[in-house]
Amino acid sequence: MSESFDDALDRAVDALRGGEHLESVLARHPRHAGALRPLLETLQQARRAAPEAAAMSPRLADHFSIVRAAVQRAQMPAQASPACDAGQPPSWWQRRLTFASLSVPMGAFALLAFVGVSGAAASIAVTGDVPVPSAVVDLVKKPQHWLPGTNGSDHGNASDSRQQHAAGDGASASASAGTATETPGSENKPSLMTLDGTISDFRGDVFTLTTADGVYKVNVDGTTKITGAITDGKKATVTGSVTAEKNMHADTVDIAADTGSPANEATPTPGSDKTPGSPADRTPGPPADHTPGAQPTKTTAPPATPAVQSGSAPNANGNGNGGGGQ
Amino acid sequence: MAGPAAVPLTHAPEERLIEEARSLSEDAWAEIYRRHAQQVYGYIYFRLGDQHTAEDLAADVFVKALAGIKGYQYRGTPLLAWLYRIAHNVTADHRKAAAKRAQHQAADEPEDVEERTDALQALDDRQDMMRAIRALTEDQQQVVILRFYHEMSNGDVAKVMGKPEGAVKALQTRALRSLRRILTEDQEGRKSA
Repeated sequence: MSESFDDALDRAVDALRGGEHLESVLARHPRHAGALRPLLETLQQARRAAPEAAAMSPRLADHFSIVRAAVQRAQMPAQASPACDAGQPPSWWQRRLTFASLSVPMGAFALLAFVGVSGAAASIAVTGDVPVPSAVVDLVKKPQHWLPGTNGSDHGNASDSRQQHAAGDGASASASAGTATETPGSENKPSLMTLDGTISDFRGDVFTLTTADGVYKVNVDGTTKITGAITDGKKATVTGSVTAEKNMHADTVDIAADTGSPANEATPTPGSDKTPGSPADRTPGPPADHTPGAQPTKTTAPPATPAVQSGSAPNANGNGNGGGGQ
Repeated sequence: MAGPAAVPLTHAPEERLIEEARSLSEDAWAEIYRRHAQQVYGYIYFRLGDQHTAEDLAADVFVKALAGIKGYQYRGTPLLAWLYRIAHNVTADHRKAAAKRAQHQAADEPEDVEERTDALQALDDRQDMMRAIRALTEDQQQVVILRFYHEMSNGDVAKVMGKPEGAVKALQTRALRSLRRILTEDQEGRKSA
């Protein structure tokens, strides 16, 4: 059974990639040779346009710091809980211990409460006088002072000590009330959140922030305090309130100072030179030989040994995988 | 941060690397980045044609991989195939966002268009080829980049794309035909100009 054209082309592509000569490849597919030739010539042309493999650019190597920061942030929740070992859920006995550590004091508290209530009930049964906690007395008494013509001292049964309690507790109550009114509605406010990440897709009043926890849509407006210029690719610390899942309104945006970038790194204008398919990139960007595995010719940093920030960061030699295969 | 076994990860098999990466080992992520960042960058660069954007998005790919590594199951398919799939999605999102921005700004910058036209004429063969590749459909671009530049086998490309091998072969044929047509039209257009 004769092979299909797609199969023949696929085999021919593999043969050319393996270094075989075009004519010998065509000779093996005489039935399709006429149609294969122009396509294989185009393939050769495409492969000639590919640069030779080279090292990772210094900027790309520096970008590992973004990944490392994300890894470190991801490690945080795991470290915060001693029961969790490197993100693994706690085992059954760890959960049991946690439960036990809570249940012992809870049991003691319940026992004390039971003894207290039983004692009070017994006291009522014997004396017929219901013991009222001073705080309850204060609460009952306090509004009576506000009523016209009433006086707290009219209560003949109210002892001096109770009044002193009332005065003292009233002071503390007003103090605590003052604390509460200092931040009115603070409990009703949406929770504040601080995110660190990389800016992308900046569109005037909204941008995307890629963080270790995921990608957030961040809205900015006239109330947002912005430090620095919001630019795609920059790192930023954003504080604000969560408005929906993965959405937040920014109160402050702090753009991190750009470090480690080549001197010719232009601040991109949204939509100008990053438009897909835009053929003429005006940024010093895509040098002719900076296709996969290529070293940028126009970067000012040293090409082969980019500054890598920690021993764990990748070296720039590309491991020989530069533009090559597997 | 050292891994559980004090064996360097440089030559560690991929399965172990993924295991370490899943337990959030910084060394494992450094090794994954060292092995694959250049290829991920190259893939994105071919599709966008902007060096800085490609570098930024390449880092984003690894951050997204970190977020999804817990759910990643190693079944013999190279990790790079998974990273390419993330890169494909990241690039597609970026292109959509960029297209929206371009719509907003299209009418405002006539000088810009002229500049680009001038610059077009100065493009060399390599840039012509990249432009032609970016004019292909997304699927065709993916096949061309992975097959012709990243030397992936048809089977691996099929895994990355989630398509049968036969579909990848058909895409390869269509991609080469389109590429030839675009390059020919480009040459003829330049001659007539």
